[in-house]
Amino acid sequence: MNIGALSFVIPGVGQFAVQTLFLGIQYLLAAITVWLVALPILLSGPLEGRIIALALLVSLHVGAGITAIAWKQRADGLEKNLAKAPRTYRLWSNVIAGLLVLLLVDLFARWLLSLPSWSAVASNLTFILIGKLRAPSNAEDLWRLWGFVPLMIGLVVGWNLFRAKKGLLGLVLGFVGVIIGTVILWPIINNQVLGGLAMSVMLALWGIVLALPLGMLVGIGRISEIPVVRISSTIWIELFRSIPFVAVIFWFYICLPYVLGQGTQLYAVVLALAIFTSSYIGEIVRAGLQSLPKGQTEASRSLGLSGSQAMIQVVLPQAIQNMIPPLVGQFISLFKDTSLTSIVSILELFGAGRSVANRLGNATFEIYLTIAVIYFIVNYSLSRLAASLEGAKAKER
Amino acid sequence: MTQANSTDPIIIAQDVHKYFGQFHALRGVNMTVQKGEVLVIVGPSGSGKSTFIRTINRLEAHQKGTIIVDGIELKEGSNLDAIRREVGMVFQSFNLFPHLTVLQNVTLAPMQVRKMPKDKANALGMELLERVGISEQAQKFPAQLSGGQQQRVAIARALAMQPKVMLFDEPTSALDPEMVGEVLDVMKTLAKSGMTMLCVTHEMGFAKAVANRVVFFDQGNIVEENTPEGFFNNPQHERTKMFLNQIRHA
Repeated sequence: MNIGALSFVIPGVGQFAVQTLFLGIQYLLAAITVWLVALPILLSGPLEGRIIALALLVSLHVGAGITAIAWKQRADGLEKNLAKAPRTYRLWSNVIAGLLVLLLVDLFARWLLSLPSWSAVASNLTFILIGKLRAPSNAEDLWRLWGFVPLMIGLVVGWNLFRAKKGLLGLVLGFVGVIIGTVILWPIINNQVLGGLAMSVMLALWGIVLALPLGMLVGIGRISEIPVVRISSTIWIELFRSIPFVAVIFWFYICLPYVLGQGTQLYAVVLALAIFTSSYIGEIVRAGLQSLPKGQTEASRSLGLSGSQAMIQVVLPQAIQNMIPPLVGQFISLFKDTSLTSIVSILELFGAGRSVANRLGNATFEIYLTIAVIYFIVNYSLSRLAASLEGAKAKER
Repeated sequence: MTQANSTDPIIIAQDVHKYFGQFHALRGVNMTVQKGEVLVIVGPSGSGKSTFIRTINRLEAHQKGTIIVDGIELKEGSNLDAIRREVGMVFQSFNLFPHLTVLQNVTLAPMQVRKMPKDKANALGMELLERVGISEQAQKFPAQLSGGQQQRVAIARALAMQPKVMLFDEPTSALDPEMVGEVLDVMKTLAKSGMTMLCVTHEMGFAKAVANRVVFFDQGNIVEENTPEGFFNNPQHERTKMFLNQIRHA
């Protein structure tokens, strides 16, 4: 009789008996936790909950027993393959943890579905996605949403050509796509019409289109040898990095219409996004440039290339490789930052959601959860997309 | 290969001083280099020899004294790009452009600076790669080549601007020993073709074979100037004798 078999009855006791003290404590604690979670569900849970709970408890005891027996065999020197005990332990701890997570997810999903106001969310979903554009009075403008297609294609294609060292072609194509898309979208780019997710995407796209060249400029300017350029770039970057974004939005929202005229509040917000983001992009650009060995510039200059030729032909093409991961991160950050424009009553995704939540009054949790899920889906697919582009790029080399 | 065949100075350095912050790196260097002359510069590390040749195409700016290259004085505001076109440089760490192919490395400067059309630049590039013996690697990227091959590409790249002077900053000291020979062979051929060369190197065989003069640097100045035979067999200065003993025993 193997003394490890005690663990079939009380997980952890067998391990104590085989004198693997630490494992014993782990198993005992795990067993207490699992029983605390599983027992109430086993007694009074939904059917699939009871099944999972039962499987969990059985796995716990079987796993603890088998593992303890394996350790005992190992201690006695009976088991030739010394890796077996740790492997058994790892396998069963994974099974138990997986089942526990499944149980909790099941509980949570049941609770979510039992919430009363999902129908209210469903009837407001189009508002959360496209804002007041869903109203019947705007029906004839609905087709204009297709403008996002050339806009995005232009950006993606342009970006990829840029990566493939066809920079000029990429810039031109990207620019054409953005212009066509914007021309189609222009009549509905208005806080009274466009809103929700569509507005967020619009803000983020225009934010990045403006922030990238601006950020490049101040980033390169920051390491310029000309004092005026260097100092003003540094001031730009440090200023906007040191002010909360909300304050920048308020500034632009209030001050810019005095210069540009009434009705330009939305442009002011786009500009605030672009300028705020440009200061971060500037730092990414500077770090990317400075990560290159000094010898690259020296070699270019010794060949007679001018400072700007060396920058364009030698330094930038290499530095951009280093900048891409942080730039994607910055773009994701920018997309999330668009939610802050809701405080100046821009009805983008977050603002639209908040207005629905305020109006309904009884669906707050469901609405904000929906919004969080939408943000997650967009941003997670962005980061996956970027990672797969990186992976494809890395394979080419 | 004893004396330069003209008395036509292409580089004149007078009383050149260079400071890195508080550190006095060059202390009044005087040197005249004739057209077609091959000069080997030796000295312990930190002696200022690399700094000195880097002042000749102004990768380092000197603070006092004058340097005249091919009739143009190096100073703030003078046409540095014009001088750098006349002076090619080869670095210890190659500094090839890793994102460009071997051929593109060579043709970049002629196309950008001399505005040479692409097909003409490619023909020139292939001819130069032929000269350094690696034309079959033209479409590869630098990372795919051995160190010796990379350094030969770097020499071809510098030659593509058809410089009047070539500067070599320890071109073989980052190489594995078996690759030193192939680079030195290219340099010897270049020297025999009449190129004016300033080489910071400790390769005594190279110095004996092609140098007109050997210059010994220590503590920011020239300690001894001599013919290769005189320098290695009969050094005049105590400091030089010590140095030669050290590198012979290394």
